Amino acid sequence: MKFLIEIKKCFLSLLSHFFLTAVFLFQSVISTAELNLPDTDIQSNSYLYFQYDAKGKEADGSAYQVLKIRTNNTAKNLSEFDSIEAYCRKSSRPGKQDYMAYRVPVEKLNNEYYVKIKSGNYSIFDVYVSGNYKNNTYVAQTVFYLFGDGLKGSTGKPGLVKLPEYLPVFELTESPQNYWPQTGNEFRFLCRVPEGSGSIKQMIVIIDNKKVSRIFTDRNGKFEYIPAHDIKLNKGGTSSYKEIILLNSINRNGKNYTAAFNLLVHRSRTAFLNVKNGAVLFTVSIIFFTAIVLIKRRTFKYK
Amino acid sequence: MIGRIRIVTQHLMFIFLIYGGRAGIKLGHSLPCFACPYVSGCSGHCYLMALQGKWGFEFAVADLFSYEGFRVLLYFAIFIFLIILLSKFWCGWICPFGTFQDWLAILRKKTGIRESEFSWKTRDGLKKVKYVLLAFLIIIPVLITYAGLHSDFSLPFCQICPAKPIMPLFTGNVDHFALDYTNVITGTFSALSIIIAAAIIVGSFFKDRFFCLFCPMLPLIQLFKKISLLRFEKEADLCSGCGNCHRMCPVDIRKVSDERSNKAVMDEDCILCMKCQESCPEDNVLSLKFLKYRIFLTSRKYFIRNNRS
Repeated sequence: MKFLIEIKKCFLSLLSHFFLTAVFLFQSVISTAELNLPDTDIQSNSYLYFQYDAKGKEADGSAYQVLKIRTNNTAKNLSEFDSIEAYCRKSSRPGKQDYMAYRVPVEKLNNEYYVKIKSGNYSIFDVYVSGNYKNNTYVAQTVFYLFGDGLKGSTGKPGLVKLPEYLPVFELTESPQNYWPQTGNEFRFLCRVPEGSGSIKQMIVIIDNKKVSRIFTDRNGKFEYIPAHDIKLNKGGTSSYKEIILLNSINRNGKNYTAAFNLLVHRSRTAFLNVKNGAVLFTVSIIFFTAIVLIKRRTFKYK
Repeated sequence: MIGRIRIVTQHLMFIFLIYGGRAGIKLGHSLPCFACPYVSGCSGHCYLMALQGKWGFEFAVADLFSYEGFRVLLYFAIFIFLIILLSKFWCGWICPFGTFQDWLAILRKKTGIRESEFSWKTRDGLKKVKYVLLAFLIIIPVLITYAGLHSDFSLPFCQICPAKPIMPLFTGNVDHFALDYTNVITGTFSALSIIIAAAIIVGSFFKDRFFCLFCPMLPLIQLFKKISLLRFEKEADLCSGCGNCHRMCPVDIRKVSDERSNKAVMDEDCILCMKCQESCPEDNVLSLKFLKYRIFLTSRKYFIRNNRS
């Protein structure tokens, strides 16, 4: 009887194995088909994006971050944009899902546009800037932490406004709850698009102005992205970082909306740790030092 | 009696400093003991980390009159205040890493293994290591800020401190026993940290308070000896010179038994464990005072009662 049960188990296991293999092959075919799609407008589009600039602390202890507003297309001067507006959402925890934000002034210095975000306490900032050029709307977005520790906890409550509905914004829904976004982490995004624009199915990953890969939504409509480890970051020290642009685009009523999310990642703090080798080194060291003590000592027991 | 009170205090302080943060206790960054910041949920941080980090000497003098400068001075002032208040009590009664070393010493005694002894020459040589470490932890952060040294050298002492891999074990975290293959610097530091931790564990097993020989906190505490509210004094005229104080001292201090002229006998390496006072068989020879109040005074009666068992 037991023998029959074992055979049944084996048979079921084989069946499930074949089924999973078939599903995997089918998925591969589908994803290959998607990857082989002809290039869409995303790649040829211009986009607006944030570039991280100076970061530091003010004399009053508050922390600041300067974000430069850039466009990938040098032919498009930012001064030619119809309007550039910046918004900021502030929260004390990641993944806060509301669309109330406050306006941030866009400043200009030496023909460069930038926004400066300041905080007197520990906060997470979601910053957006939008600009219109001819028939296109461009949105740049990023999320970062500021560790202000100043005399003034807060600079007062700014007047909140609802984020313009046309902004195709990224919601970092399931990022690691960590102030140190790092390579190897799994970042999950939800793209909120203007009503009646359908849904966004793919995003392009851009590093150093080069298209690196394309990512697609999962069955929940979310994008999942895991930044690869980078040897330059590993050698660069604790403060080195890498800026990754995630780009999407959508068309509504003949108007293009392009959004670029700047995901700043540091090197991984955990991926290159090897506890097993450390334990071996520790054990060998314990044996080595004990041996030294035993050799150098004359006797070990009270007499 | 004092020994028992000390053991109870040490254990309570160990629990308080290692797990206190989980109960919402935050004692800041200025503690003059090895309350390791790498222990998640600890209630306070060792000042050596602040000294090497953003609240130490790497801080720009130009920013001294800012809020950040105020923070640097504030943490330093709290550190000095805590030292003035409790002096070496931090080492012998509060330091969690000291308690860990005492556990290893207890284990050695239970197994009947004799304590190792160093020659005076070796001991005097080892004493200098703590000053080297102190210089190392002050100079390297300055070099990072002003001379462009690689940022992976930051918190140099913490990176090789034996408390970093050992103390987080009490919260179930073994991550600091890992070799870090991120780059050559992190790999070297992580390997050194593990080797030093092993050396200190073996050393502390065979020799009481082995790490205290190298602890860079001790010279910092000693800096404020003269203004400390705690006084450890000796009436040399009444001393019979039996040498019990020297024999019982876990850190082999000779000063208490040899001193003949100065009243103040708190040595740089003293951890105020009070074993010397407990083992003194003479009346009124050694005393511990807090301001003008006497905390303990040696007496023959106490010695006999304490050693009857």
